[in-house]
Amino acid sequence: MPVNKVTFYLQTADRTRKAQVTFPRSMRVRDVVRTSAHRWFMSRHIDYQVANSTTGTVLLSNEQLLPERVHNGDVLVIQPFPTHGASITAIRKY
Amino acid sequence: MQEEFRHVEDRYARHRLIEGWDQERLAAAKVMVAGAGAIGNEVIKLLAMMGFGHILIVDFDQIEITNLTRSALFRDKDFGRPKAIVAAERAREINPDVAVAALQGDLRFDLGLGVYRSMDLVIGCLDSLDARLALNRACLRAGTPWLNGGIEVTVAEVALFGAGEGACFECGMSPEMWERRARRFSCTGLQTSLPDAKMPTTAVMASVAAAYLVQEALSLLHAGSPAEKEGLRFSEKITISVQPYDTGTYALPRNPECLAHEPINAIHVRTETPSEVTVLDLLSLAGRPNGIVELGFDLITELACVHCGHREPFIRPLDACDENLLYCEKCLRDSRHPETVSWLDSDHPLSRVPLAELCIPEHAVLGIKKDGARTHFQLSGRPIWPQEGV
Repeated sequence: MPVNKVTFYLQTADRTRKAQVTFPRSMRVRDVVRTSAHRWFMSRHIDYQVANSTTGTVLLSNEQLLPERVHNGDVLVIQPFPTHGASITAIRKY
Repeated sequence: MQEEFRHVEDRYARHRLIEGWDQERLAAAKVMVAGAGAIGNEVIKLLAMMGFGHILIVDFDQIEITNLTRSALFRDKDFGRPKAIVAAERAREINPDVAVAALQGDLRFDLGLGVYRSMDLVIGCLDSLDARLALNRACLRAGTPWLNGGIEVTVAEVALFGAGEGACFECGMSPEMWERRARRFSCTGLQTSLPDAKMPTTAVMASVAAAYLVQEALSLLHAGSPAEKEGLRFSEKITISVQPYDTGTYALPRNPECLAHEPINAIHVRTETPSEVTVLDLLSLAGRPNGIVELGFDLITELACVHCGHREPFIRPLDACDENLLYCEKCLRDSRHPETVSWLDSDHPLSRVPLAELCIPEHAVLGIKKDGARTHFQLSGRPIWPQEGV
């Protein structure tokens, strides 16, 4: 595994989307969100936050995927940022 | 000989059976609930039942028919009444031991920082980003811990923030979120008049979020120090999903570029209310007649039409107004421009106007600046709970 890349599991909070991904370490968290939102047809009406569920920490939007923050095999979860009492993404669930 | 046991139980007898429970601590607690919507209703209900002694409910909104599916404290007959007032009435019915105060107003403009300073805890049950940002900054400046609750249809989230070195709510804001927020304001700084989006939600997630929020309030009040606190640590959040069932706690990192962590030095508490003093008076009381009084927000002082030249005195916080204000009734077009100030000195014509008329709320904390040095003064006001004082 090249040291300038990291492979981890990426999933949405509702676990309807999950993938093993390999990204450059220089990639910023906001670009992970942007790429995922595009490929997974996630709602563009809400904001997202990325949490590393393996280490129990939230990653800031402008952070890079540095070795001290994201390890190979970690599980990163894309969570809706709670800017409202409720979001409009999950309206299709019922 | 048969022994006789007589159980004399009070309202809180079952609480007292819990090891370490301190009902007197709860009775002395002062808690602000910001927002009396779906989550706020559940939080207020729990706080009242459990005997949290002093509850301040803040909400600017009125009850709509759609609130009734998620708001245990509201009834059909309450349609159109202020949420804060009705929630306070129902909380008093639930538990007459509890002192409940209500403020129908906007926490951004109608609540002085002194009110936040007097609280043991603020529980944010809000439905907008702007309100959360304002609450976060107020609590940071006041040094008061606060809890943020948020929900969507199948996920709830609760975060605890303190006034220390850790992350605050604003630290989690991404550039995209700032951009999205900026789109809600016109180039004049006024809010666009587009209607807010309607948010789908159920009482289930509101109840889940409220249960965690109140449990965190219990943990915080019972802890002798932050290190002894059970549950969330400061700058930590818990997410609870019910589809699929899942919970997780996450540490929130501090953003070194976050601008919200502005320290506030010693505050001089005054006995004068905003109705009783002017900018001139305050500068004199501070012994800095050549200083400036920082309002802490942009205040519109005048509306001027760039087309017909008509000028009209107008006093309101900029953020409290929307772009409908730009419409000039003289020339029937959106051609007015708001003149604003964020500080006043002794030369300004408004320096002789009582501060209350400049939208300064009771218990406000104002900065007085001269030669780069800043002093803070807290004004007085009516007591929040009449029998207690602030």
